[in-house]
Amino acid sequence: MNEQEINNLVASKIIDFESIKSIQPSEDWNNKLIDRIGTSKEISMSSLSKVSIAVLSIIVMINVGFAFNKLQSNSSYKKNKELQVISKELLINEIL
Amino acid sequence: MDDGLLLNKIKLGDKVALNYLINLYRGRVINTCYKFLLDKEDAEDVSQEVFIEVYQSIRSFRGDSKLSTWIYRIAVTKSLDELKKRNRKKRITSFGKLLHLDDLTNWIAGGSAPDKLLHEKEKMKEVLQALSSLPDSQRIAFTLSKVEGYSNAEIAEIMNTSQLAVESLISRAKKKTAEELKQILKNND
Repeated sequence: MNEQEINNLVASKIIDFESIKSIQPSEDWNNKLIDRIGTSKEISMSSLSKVSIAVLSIIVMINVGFAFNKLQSNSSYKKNKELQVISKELLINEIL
Repeated sequence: MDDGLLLNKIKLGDKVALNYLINLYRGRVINTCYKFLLDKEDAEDVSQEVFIEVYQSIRSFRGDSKLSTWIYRIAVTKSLDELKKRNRKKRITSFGKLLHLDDLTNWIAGGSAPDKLLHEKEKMKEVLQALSSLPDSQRIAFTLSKVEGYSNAEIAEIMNTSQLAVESLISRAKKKTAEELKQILKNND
């Protein structure tokens, strides 16, 4: 194709695009939409409850983790304290 | 019916009002999507998504813009999203072609898939390709200016810009589309 032919083709393609005729929706467009609106409502409700359950379980798990951690650190702190007291007593006994 | 009244009725769950809104904007929404996608089935599908979104988020619509502007804005966004989705799909398909996945899919399906109808999309594929090289703002302004019924003032409202800016976007888009199209046709030759 020469330059002139390409230019003509470009112009005709753009005109074709500009003059695309409007379309009419299919007959069942409205019914399909109503169905989809109904389904999306159900989905959004069920997904909302699923999300809230997931969030709640994460919160519970985090809290249980914290509590467990706290318990463990408390008991190890107590053990450390006891060991310190014992070692001090031993040291004192040795010196004496 | 006044926008405010219509909105209130829909927010209260009035199905008649919702149907009224759908019938009022249906034509222009479908044709807006169609001009972007150039495929009737896709345009119908995306336009339904537009109304689903409208229905789901109507409670959060504060009325900062006209109801029609808000709806057309959703239509434009959804259409552009669909185009992006198509581009992603195209990339995956070309990767699949490299691996001959098409043959595999046909073999699994038990034969060759029926040929798709030749849509406007096929006839206009070079124009679509040229338009895809435009920045979103130019593409939106240019495409909307070719949809029946949109004035530059309305496009400016949808794009939240001035009429002068819209005019400039349209003329730049036209120029760039022609340049791109020329390049594409030369390469195809």
